[in-house]
Amino acid sequence: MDLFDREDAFLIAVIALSSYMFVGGFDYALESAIFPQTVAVFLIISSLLILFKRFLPRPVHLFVAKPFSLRPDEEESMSEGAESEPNGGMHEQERSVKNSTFVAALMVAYLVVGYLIGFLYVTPLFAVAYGKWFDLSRQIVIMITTLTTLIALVFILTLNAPFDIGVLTRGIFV
Amino acid sequence: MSAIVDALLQAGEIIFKPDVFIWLVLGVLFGISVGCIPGVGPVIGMSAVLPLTFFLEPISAILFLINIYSGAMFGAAIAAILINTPGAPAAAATTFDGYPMAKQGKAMDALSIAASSSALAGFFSVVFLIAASPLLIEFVLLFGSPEYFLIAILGLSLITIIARGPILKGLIAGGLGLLLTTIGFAPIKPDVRYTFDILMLSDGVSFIAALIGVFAITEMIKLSNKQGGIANDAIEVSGTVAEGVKTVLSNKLLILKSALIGIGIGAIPGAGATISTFVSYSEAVRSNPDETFGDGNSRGIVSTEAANNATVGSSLIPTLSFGIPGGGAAAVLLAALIMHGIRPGPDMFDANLFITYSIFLSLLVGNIVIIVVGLTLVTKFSYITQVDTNIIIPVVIVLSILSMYLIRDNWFDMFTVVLFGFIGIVMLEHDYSVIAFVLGIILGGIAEENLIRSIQLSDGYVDAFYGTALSILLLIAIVLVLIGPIVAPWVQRKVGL
Repeated sequence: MDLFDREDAFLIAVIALSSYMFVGGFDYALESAIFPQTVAVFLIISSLLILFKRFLPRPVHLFVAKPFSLRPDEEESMSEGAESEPNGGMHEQERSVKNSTFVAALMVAYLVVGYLIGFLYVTPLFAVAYGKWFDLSRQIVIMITTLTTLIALVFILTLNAPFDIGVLTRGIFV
Repeated sequence: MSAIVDALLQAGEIIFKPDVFIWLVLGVLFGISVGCIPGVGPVIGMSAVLPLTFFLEPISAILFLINIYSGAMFGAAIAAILINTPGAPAAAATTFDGYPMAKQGKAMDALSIAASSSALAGFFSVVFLIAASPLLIEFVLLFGSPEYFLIAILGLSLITIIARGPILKGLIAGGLGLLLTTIGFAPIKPDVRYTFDILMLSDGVSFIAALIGVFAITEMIKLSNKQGGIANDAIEVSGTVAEGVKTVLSNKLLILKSALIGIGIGAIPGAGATISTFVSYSEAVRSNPDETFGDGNSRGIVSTEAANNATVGSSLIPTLSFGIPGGGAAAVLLAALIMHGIRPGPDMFDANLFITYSIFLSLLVGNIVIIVVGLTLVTKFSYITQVDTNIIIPVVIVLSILSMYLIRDNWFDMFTVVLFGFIGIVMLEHDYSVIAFVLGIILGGIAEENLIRSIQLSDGYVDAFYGTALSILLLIAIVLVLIGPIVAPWVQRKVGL
């Protein structure tokens, strides 16, 4: 068993945030502090219980760790109340970097670079990078690039969104 | 009673205005389209377009979104029947008999059964809701600040036992959502809390960013791990519409029963259509012991499709009355209401009763559109089931990120939506309920405001929370919901069950 995994990191982050909010609550009026401080205390205690569940006495351990659900036995997802649909023909591909990791990293890069130079210019690059990673056909890549760039353009032209300007290019184009 | 009739007439006038009606129909068509695509479904479809509805009139926006939900319930059945892959979890039970029926060369029969059952049950559900609304109004008016706080806690507690995973994890997810809502302006005193002196945080964390992050972004990240064709043994659409409709009309009692199951379960926060369809299917099997299910029995499709569309209307009851969503799609609708300045609660059954009835009547009209589409155009929609997710994923990601800027002209919201997408992935992986998290974010403001107001009204004492019979009942319900699942096995062992 790993000593430290992503769930532990998540719980530690929750504890850290809750602790900050509990301590920070003393800077505010009582009416502004009571709710966040109460919730923070609850989160700290609950998170500690789960973090150290393997050391808890059995009855407490069961309460902390035992799943309970009225749902049919399916994996949780977001679509309509938390179940994922059975996927008939889909399969997971094997690769050194998971596809989800790549997509997550690509999203961050899209955000940061788009904020810096303008989303209109980065969006086609995002689409092409996505297509390259997943070995998509040229037609599909063109379709994705067109659709996504069109979204950015529509926002710029009809809703005056400043997606053609970034923090670094503001002085150049405007 | 005259107020109800006036509101109904006003609602009728509103939904048939051309600019409103067009969005109603577009909502159904868009909903059927997103429902057809496995991996997308109503919640993602609604989340992706939610920020864009900011620029519509509030009524048009709400009717557009609610009819996406309604249309998607039928769209999900199309995928379930034709490719044995439900477009949304609510249609999972439809695959049991729908796909086998399609393989027998009766795909059109199955699709017309699904369309007719959905429409009839949806129709019945809305009529039931309108008829029951006077009672509902009286019930909602009993709620004061303490009761509103308690029902918010009850709603969160119910989610944690309905969702998968340990109860404590569900409570942590909900609590985290509640905590994040305390960033920004406090509801009562003029304190600006936990902003790290970042101006953009003074308005708080955008609940729409959180919702789109955990519903759309998380789901797209998850979907990207699965590659290959979604379409599974695509079926040629053959058979007859008339036979399907005849079948439905000869099972009116089954439709009624399934609709009532859908209405009852849909009104429970967090339950959603999935549970109602499985319960309805199980009941159909139980009450027809001489029949075989699972190999193309039309009653199997009738029971599931009737239940899931009936759920759409009833999930609005806790949503509109108390601001507690009946499911993921209702959570998105609730976000839309708040975004457009419409506050759930007693006003939805008083000054804003015409909005509530507009929503109900639009579902009635939407069900007619479903029947028309289902019986005439469904073969066209069947092509949508073949759409490659590699097209959907980048489009939804770009749309979700870019549209977030439009709500508050705030670049920070774009980063927030991605951050919540990552939080959603971690929560999913480790059985923390994202529905509870979203509910916490949506209810946090309401819960805190009513908590503080209740304490102020009782001069600093907490007896406001057990001062009325209703508040005591709510307290008991919260305790039972949280303690019951832990104590139940022990009690069963003691009793010898």
